[in-house]
Amino acid sequence: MINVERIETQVGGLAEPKRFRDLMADVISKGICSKCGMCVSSCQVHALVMTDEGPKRVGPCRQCEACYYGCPRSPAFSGELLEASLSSENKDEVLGRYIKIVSARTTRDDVRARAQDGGVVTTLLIYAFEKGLIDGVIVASKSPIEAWKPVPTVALTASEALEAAGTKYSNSPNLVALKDAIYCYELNRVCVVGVPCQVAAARNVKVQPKAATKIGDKIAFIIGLFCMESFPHAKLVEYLLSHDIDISKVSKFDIKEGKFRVYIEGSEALSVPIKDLKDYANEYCHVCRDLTSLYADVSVGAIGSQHGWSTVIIRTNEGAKLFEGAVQEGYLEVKDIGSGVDVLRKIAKRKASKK
Amino acid sequence: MRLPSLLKEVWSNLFKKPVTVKYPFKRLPVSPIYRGKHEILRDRCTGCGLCAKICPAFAITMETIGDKVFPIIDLGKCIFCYQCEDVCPRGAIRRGKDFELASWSRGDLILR
Amino acid sequence: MSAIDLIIGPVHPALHEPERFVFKIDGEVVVDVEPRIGFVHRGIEKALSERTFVQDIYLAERICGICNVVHTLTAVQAIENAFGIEVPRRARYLRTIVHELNRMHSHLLILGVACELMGFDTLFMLFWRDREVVMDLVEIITGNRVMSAYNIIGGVRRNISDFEISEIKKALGSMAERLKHYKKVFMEDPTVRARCVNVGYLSRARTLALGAVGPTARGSGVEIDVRAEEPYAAFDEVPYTAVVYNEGDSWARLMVRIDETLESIKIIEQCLDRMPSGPVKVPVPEAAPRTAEGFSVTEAPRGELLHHVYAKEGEDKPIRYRVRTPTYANIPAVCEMLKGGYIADIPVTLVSIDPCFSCTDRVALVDVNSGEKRVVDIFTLMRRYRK
Repeated sequence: MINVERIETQVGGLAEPKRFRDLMADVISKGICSKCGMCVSSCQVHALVMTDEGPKRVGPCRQCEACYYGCPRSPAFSGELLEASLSSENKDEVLGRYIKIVSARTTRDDVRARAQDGGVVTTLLIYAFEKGLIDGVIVASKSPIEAWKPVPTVALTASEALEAAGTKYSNSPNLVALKDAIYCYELNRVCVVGVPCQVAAARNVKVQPKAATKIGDKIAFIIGLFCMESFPHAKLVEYLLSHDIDISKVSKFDIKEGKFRVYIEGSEALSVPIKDLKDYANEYCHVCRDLTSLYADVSVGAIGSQHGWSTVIIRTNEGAKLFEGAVQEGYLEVKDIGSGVDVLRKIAKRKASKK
Repeated sequence: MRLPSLLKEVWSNLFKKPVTVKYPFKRLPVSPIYRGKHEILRDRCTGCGLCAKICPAFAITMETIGDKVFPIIDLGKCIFCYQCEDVCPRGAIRRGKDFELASWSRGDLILR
Repeated sequence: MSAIDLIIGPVHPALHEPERFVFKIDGEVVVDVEPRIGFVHRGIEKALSERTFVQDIYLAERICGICNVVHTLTAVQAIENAFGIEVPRRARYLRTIVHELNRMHSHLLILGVACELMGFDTLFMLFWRDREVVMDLVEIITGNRVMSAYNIIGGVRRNISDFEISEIKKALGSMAERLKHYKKVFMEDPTVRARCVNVGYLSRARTLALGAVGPTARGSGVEIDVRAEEPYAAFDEVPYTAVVYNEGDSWARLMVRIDETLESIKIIEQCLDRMPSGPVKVPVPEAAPRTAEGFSVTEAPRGELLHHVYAKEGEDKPIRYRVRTPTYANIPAVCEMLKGGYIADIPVTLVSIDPCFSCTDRVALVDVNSGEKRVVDIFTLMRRYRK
């Protein structure tokens, strides 16, 4: 009898350990799995892979509980535990803990050309690479085969990070690339860029002792994006086709002032109220209350800032050091956010209190 | 008779410092990733038993202490492959550089 | 003509691993040889099928301490072949580097041992001094001097950094100089020539007929080398030339090994220069994703090594695992080499094939070329011991 059976009898003598099938029962089958990808990267016996329908088990589960406790939507997830780990003094009811909220934009032309708004995320990544603060970043880059389909990627250089600039509105299981970064490439200071559910998972794996904290140790920075909901790629293609738009021609998408806009070659090709796409959004997005990535080091988004600028919420000392460093070295310019913060608060409240 | 070609080297070696390092009075440093005696970080361990399940030499067993479970490594059986370190999701087993592990009794070789 | 039986082994100072040879001698000349192997039989193949694939890598590593890298390499390649996994390019290059370092270690070891058996202790010590350098390089890359534990299913366990690359290049540069010096010694030194030239001669035709592999065959003019014929790891991208000598005696076999060590240095330097960037491993689940056979052939320092694994879908242990090691193939050749030589030539001839009986004896059924009789003898021995 080899180890597994022998040890199972010893460990199983305590409370029944959580297995992948518990994750399946408590999260995936309930339809609340946001396909962040953390379970796939947590599994140290590589038993899980991510499919379009969610995580699937392809190898034996050894009941280490890492996937269950790593999941931001499992019953074991505790927002209080995560919030307690942030070093910020201020706390807002809907915007979460923060040190400071400002407006910022890049000073670099190469970033501005590809930026969604202020180009802050990409600029922070370039700054971090150039100063040797990180050796890799998890981003959603564009698939070379299917137009606008996001692919979780590990970017190893500033120019690779620049390539991935620009918001994609379809869901991307970014955190599966953590396995590539940490296991396959053996990186030690990884930056995670993601939407609120992914950011929660990334913060959780750093502070939840039962999650795969070995991975959490290697995450250097977490940059969060603002997110209302995401759309499955196929549905987005379908919607655009219903308006006679071929997705491969699109140069940019954005959602501002309640409008969903599609640009072809820089000029607006479609502008519809975002409410029109309500039925195209992912089902599992409806349970989310987090607009501004409450648990990131730095949260970045368009809401609350002028055109061409980004709202930046600095939440931790690490985030402050990164952001202030980039400002001081001239990578970013900053200004007061003014009344924009009330706009942000209003929309964040709308997401936080939706039925 | 032609002289053996090594003779010149042998002659010059007579006057060189011997390469022998006089262990145990002097120790050579080991590489930064040397696989020596393990360090078990109990505050990180959650008792999942992955290390014990994967150990190729069956050297790790799990011990119940109160309401927690921790690994015990029998260094007498251990082959120092460090699969346990690679597989631990919490990084609760770390590698160490200590290789001077000889002892008088097998009991001394149990690592907690 | 009175033939006396001279028994060498199982434990003998001239042998590095326990084997029993019964020599029928006439005066000082060996007339016939009867080898009996199986003293290091450990039931490894059975043990391999009772452990998971990951555990098997470490058991395979211990089939032979000196060839440990090539056993893990062949094992993971066989399992990857069965699972249908492709390894990243950088991992293949890293595997090649450690593989060749292992070859250098093994060759330097046997060259030193050969010199010791000739009575040339000085050269023995000098070879082993250089072997230390190789072991230190392996320690920097893998964490241990001999048992590397570097290959895993899907790639290698660790990446190497620029520091390690520069250390390797530095050490190899000075090693190449030393080896060229030793080559000159081997060609000119009277002791070496007296003890090795025309000792243990095997013609090309007989080498082929007896199925010898590795440097044993390449010393008799047979140009067989898995790295050239069925490239694995990075050998399909890194240029490689097999080393062949035609003399067919122990001197040629030892010269092949010196030249191969020099070749290994070139291969490692090529790999370092051409090293692609990228990941060093891919994640592989513990259980087989499909029912399939996998096999892998590599060039161990002693010759052609084969691992064959049969995996069933969903099982995390192999159903059957079979290993065929090079010394097993070289034993009939060495028996023929010993015939007609003097007793004093026995140690040098035996060591010139680089015998690794640890590798040879893990088979469950020993069927040596001379027939069932030997199996019976093993059981008779066992029965006698039990009484």
